[in-house]
Amino acid sequence: MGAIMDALIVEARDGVPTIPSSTRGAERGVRIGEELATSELPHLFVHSPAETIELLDFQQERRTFVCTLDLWADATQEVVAGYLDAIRDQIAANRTLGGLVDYSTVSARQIFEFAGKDRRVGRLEVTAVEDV
Amino acid sequence: MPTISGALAQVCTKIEATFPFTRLSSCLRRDLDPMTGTAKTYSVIPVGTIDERSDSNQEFRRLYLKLDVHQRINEAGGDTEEAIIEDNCLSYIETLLDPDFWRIPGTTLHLVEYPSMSISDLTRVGNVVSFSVTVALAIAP
Repeated sequence: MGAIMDALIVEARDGVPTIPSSTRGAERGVRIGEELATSELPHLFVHSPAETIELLDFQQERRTFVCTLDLWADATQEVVAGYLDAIRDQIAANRTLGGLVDYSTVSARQIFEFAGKDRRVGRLEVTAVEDV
Repeated sequence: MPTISGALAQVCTKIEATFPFTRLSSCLRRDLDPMTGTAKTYSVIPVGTIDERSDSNQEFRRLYLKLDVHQRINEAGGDTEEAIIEDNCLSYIETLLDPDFWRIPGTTLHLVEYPSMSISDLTRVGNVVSFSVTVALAIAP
């Protein structure tokens, strides 16, 4: 799970080059987005990993991994939508995440907005499948 | 008279002498045996019938076989589905579709339906590629 989440951080950074370097810009886990310093934005949290396992013939497993990417930014809805597009396109261009999985895909996207606030969070749910 | 189960045993002996296949513990359940690494396995579903010749009292037992062959794609070892099918499966299929394979010396088996397969007999589940060949053998009394 950890390797997949690290690979998703790399893809997100490639898609949104303005994410600050190191953990100032991206991290596994989650904190309160409203408390992020402006210098930490756009900021990516990769969190809430989960896996379901389907049993296949010959005691094989189809492992389906799901995790959430939250990208916080002080930006307009249109800009955040553009970030989500860029991350989705980046994952679509490297669906195996460098050979870690059979394929991965962005299975859901949403932008959360808060009344009277400029700060928004764009959320992507990523699903990865690997037969073992 | 040779029995259907005896004929099945002769066929399995020939298969195991010819191919690097290990027989699965079940021919009907595919979840009982694990396949790991580069495993190659087979199972045989046997069905028997008896013919009675009109010109005699002779009974001819007939053995219908569905031979299932399974190979695991060892992706960690660099295997690909294409390589498994083109390098391994097609070579096995060529041997198994040869009627001479089923004419087993030292037995009283003879072919009554040539070995055959159809396009849907090649399948993949997870990392295991499978194919099936069907054939019918008569057991001379």
